Amino acid sequence: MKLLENPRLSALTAFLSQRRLGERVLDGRVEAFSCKRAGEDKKLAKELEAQFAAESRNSPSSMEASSPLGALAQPATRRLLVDLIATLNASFPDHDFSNLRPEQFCREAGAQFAVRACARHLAELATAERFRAPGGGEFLDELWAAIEEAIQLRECEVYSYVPDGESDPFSEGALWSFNYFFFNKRLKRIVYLSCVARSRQLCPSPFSDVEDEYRIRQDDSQDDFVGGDLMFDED
Amino acid sequence: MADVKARLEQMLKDDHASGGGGVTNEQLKDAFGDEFDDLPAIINELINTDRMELLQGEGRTTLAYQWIPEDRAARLGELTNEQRLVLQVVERADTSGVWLRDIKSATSMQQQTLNKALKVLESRKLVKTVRSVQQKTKKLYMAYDLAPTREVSGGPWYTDHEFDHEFVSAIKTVVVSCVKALGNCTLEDIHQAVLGTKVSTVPLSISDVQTVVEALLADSQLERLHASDDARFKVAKPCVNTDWVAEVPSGTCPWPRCRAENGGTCNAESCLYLDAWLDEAST
Repeated sequence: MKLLENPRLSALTAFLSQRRLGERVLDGRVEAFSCKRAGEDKKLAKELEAQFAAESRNSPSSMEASSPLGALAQPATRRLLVDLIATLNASFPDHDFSNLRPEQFCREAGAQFAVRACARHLAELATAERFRAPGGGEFLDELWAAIEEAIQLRECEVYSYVPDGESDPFSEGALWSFNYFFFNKRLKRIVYLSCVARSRQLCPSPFSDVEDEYRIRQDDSQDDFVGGDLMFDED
Repeated sequence: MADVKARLEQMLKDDHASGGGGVTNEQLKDAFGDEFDDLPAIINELINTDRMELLQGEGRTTLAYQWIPEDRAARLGELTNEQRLVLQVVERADTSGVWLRDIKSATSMQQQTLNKALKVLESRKLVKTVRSVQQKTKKLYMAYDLAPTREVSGGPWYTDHEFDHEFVSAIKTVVVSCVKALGNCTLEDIHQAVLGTKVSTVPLSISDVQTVVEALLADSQLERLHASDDARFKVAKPCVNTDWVAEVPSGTCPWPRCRAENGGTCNAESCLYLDAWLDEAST
């Protein structure tokens, strides 16, 4: 999966990285990927196809069964699985999701569930004066406007990864989390939106995986919000 | 001077050959006495040419020097400083493996540079990636020659990093039948008996068998006879089936019809509900 440059999404991600909210620290990101397969992804696809071939030899009936992503017997389902796994690998480079089963994902009926989850969890950010979108406007409005521009939500299938409660980025020390894949088949693109909240006590050091240009400069102030000049520090 | 160097090298080689874990400063003082002051220069030279390394860090209270054999010295020599730093971090984690993010924070390296360094180390067969059953999605690295600990690989109960239910059931059945055959027996007896059946293609240690015995105790299939280290085990009597207890009627008759037909009251002799239950119970 190739990360697509998108200044609006980058700004939103930067705002959500290490965002202190009272006693919690949020780590969120919203990234757009093209479903073009890079070297690692091709290897992953090959391994998955081999695994599938072996499983269907051992128990042909299990392949007809449907999963949250569709029937595994369908090549389109297997392609989707590879795309979702590759997206997770690209978004969390310290983790390796190659062994995920289709049952570890679920399909959402539509984008409205994602919108509601965001509104519920990020309501406090909605009125944050520190965030100023390029065109003015509040955080949540800008978030959905930028996502709409990147992916045309109406055309999208929406999926979610179900955390395993052990070692994935949504499980360790997480107070709450959500993650949504917006998959536009026509554009061959995925926008991945995720956010985890942890207690401030658990986060003495930065744990953001994203590249340096996203990283907020840590200052020594005790303020809950990093200074409002944040948006203009981008190069 | 050359003589001192030769003796030092020999001391280090002997220690390495016998798996000594390094030569400490104290040992050097004892061996070299007055010539100890000549050592620092020689030590520096050997370290710079990758013929010896300084061991320090977690679990060590004193510094120790260790010999580096020639082939490893050659492989180290080809690495850049960054790559050596990464290798050091990975090797320090020993058989538990280290998470990629922890390598990043330990070396303060950028994602890209770190990935490149790891690729080089992997191609030189100095490190390898490892999967842990407890941390399924984390990318772990370990020194190439080491075998992962039980915690990481899951031991005999995991196949391909998935819990092998069938295998565990099979072993449980074997243990119960061994205990049945042996009667009153200790854990060692059970262990020997299980090994004797050769049912498992992977070696099962006595603690593996202990884990199974404890599971069977929890399942009420085995009983422990003394709560001590040399406890003996026997097959437990099958649990009495108590399902019927739920079927016994309570003292209160639930049928209004019964009271109606008995003139407003219901007693044990005339209760229609009890009659019906007794009829059923006797069939």
